[in-house]
Amino acid sequence: MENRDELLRIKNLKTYFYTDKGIVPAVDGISLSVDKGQIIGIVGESGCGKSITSLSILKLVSEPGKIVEGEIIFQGENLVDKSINEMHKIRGNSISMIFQEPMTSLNPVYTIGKQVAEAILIHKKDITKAEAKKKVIEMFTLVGIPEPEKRFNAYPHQLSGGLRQRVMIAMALICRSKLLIADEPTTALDVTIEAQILDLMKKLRDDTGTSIIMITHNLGVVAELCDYAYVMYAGKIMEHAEIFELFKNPMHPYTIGLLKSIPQRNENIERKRLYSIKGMVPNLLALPKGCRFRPRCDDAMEICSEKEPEIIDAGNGHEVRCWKYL
Amino acid sequence: MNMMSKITSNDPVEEQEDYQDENRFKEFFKSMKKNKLAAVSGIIIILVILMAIFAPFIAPYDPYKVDLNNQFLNPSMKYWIGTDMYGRDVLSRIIYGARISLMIGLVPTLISMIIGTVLGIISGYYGGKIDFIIMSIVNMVLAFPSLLLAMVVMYTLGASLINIFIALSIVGWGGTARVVRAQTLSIKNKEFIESARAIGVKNSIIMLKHIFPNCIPQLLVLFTLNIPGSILSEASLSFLGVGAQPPASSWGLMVANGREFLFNAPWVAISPGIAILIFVLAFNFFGDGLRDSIDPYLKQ
Amino acid sequence: MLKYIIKRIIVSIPLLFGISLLTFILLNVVPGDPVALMMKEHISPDVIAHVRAQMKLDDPAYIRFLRFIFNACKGDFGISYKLNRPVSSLLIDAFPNTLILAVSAAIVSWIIGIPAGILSAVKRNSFLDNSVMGFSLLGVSMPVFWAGLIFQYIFALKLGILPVSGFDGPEYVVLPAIVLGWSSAGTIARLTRSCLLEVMRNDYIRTARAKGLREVKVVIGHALKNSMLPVVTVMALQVAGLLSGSVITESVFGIPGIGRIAVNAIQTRDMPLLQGAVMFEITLVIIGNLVADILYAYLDPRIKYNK
Repeated sequence: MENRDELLRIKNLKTYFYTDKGIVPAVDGISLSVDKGQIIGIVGESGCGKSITSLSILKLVSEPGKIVEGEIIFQGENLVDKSINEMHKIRGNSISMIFQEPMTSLNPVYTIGKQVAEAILIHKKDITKAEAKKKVIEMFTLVGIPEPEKRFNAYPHQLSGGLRQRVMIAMALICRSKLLIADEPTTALDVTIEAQILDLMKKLRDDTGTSIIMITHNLGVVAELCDYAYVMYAGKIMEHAEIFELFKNPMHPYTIGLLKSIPQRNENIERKRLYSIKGMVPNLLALPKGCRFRPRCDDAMEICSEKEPEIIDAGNGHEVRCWKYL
Repeated sequence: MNMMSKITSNDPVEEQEDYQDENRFKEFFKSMKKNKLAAVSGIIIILVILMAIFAPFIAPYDPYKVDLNNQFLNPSMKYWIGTDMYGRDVLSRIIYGARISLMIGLVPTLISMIIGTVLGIISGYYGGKIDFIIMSIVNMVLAFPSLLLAMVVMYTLGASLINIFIALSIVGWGGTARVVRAQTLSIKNKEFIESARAIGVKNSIIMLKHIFPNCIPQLLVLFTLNIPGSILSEASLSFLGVGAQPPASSWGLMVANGREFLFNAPWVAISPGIAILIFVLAFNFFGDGLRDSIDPYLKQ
Repeated sequence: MLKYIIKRIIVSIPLLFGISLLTFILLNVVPGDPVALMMKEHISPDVIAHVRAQMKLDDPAYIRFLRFIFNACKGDFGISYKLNRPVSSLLIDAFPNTLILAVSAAIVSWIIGIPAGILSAVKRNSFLDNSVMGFSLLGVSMPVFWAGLIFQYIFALKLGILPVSGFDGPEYVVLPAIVLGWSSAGTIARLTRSCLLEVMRNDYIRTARAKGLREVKVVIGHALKNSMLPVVTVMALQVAGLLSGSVITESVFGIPGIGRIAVNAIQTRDMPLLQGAVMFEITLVIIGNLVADILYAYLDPRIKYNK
């Protein structure tokens, strides 16, 4: 189903790392799409490739990583084909990104005002510094930074983690990006601050129509924020569906395992131990034959050790990569 | 993702391969081989060592024989690098000079590292007043510009090759002492030292058997990297006239002697310098490669 | 900050004292009668004894040392044996030459080294990077005296565009400054490169790129300021080092500086002159290190704003 109001479509993206020890297929054939105004989540454990996917969109993957295959169609154009110079025009402009560590993501020797102003001065050459400053203060107000005029001249180390992340969001959205990629933005924050930031992101989407790709390992965040979610494992999408559908009707054993791992506070549960999926994330240099989740799967069948499953359409916009549903 | 798991395993929780000793050595050699520059340098070093040992067999002429009929001959098939102001074959003098350079590179460096290691371990291990005294002396020695200190010592002892050994040994131990002391301090507080002491092992044994072996990788790297310094120092001192004296074929001295004839017979002064350069570069590259290979090992 | 400076100065004094002691011991424990060596032959022992008494060479060592320190603080290093002039005036005449050489060499090394280091870091592991690093290693491995001769040979003797030696005008500084600065340039390049690479690993560099900044702007605008602190400190230390490390260059190019005085003093066994020159150089080095420390403290806000 294409052309709804599609903003971004990734087709079969492969980003490999050419290391001394071999080729690491960090992103091994990812396909996803984001509509205008939609918030999608990419969920998975550390090392599953979700960050690399997002970095690939902006072509920020550093050596020895390379996009080897696939298309990233944004507003009708394939980003993979674009030159670095063209990407410079897109980064921070139509597509922005915020990262996990607000503590270290801001340059300690410049004021936050200067850094956020820079974000708009790069792309809008014809506005003056004074106009840029006004816009910065507007953004600060929008993201909920108190006393924005005063804070303009503050240094990063003078702000708390939550405030810094708001600054990052301001910096990302000051050019009215169509797409915001948020790579675990709340993982390093307290739960209460996290809730505020998530609220802010939802509000921004509602007010400005910015689409958001939310990358996280936390299913709670996904449930709170996203409209649609993709579950990733070892470089591939295992399952994706609309959010309620996914939580109500999880199909892939991995997704089921993830949901089971969320600690429950229900007295009716006789379970005394916390559930965790057995086994460990596989070494991408030596993936098992067949389905890459098979070593950790409770429902593994014989075919699972022989062939990797393809994506199977389960209806309702719900797709899953598992032999159980053939 | 960093552990090497067995490829056909059905259960990834099975043991991961530990990095045993043999794996460390294999990794080390692999990385040395990969660093082509370091490998080539290693070969050059070995060649120079062979050249020094077998000098009498390799050198075409007697390096000391004076023949005033053959002064300043241009490089030719007969004399590959020509002759100097006394008619001596420059190539032979350079080959024999390798002996001096090698000795200077190895011996004072070794001596100063031994002194530095001993004092560094003692200083770090015992701490307190001993540490204070030793480190004060180290600071003094290190604050003294090394060439100047060497020159002063040579003044005191008199200019000769033997005295250079002494001078360079005195000048060089400070840096080693500091590094070894730091290493000692970091190991000193680890549990296995505590337990050794608790069993009643003598201090000297602890220092020898437990602390010292942990310093060895760093010392190896330091050694290789200090050798060029000694060679350059000797060359400089001899050049200034306060080092080896004629007719020794120290490369530095050769450059000094050839200086006044730079215009007419440049090869006399320039070629020994090239020899120094190649030798020092080889040690620097090798030492760099060594350090890069040993670093991951150090981090464990 | 002021407390830090005072502390550093106080720490330097015993250091200076210790080094003076070391120098004094080394130079005055020489066997052989300095007076006899200094004077021409055929002097009778009575005259020698008389001169020795006059120079108070027979006093116990510690008294001589204290006298030496006392005089040194006054700036009096005695009279040169061979040149019959006060050592201090010889040193003062020579110092400006050494200073000019050292500063020029330092500037050369910064002009070559810092851009080279930056380029290397930005184009990491490229051919450019490896060449720059190779050149810097070359600079450090090359004997300075040999490099000096090569430059003399090419530019002075063969091409004739620069003078061979001497110190009578600005053109005389060019070759020595390049020769001396060449090896320091290598060190600065390496340091700049590694500091920059270290800083480039930080998250805020990733943020800058994600904003759409071109790589050049990322490096110069964001990374550079953060990485210059150690580099600047080393630059200051370098000047200190060059002041004492110019010995060889001065010899090769015939520059009448402190280093050359020291070398001549050794060759003519002129002990007071050597002692004065060495003490002078050491004091310069210690002051240079002090200045570097203070500069570091000034630039690092953690120390600057620490009561």
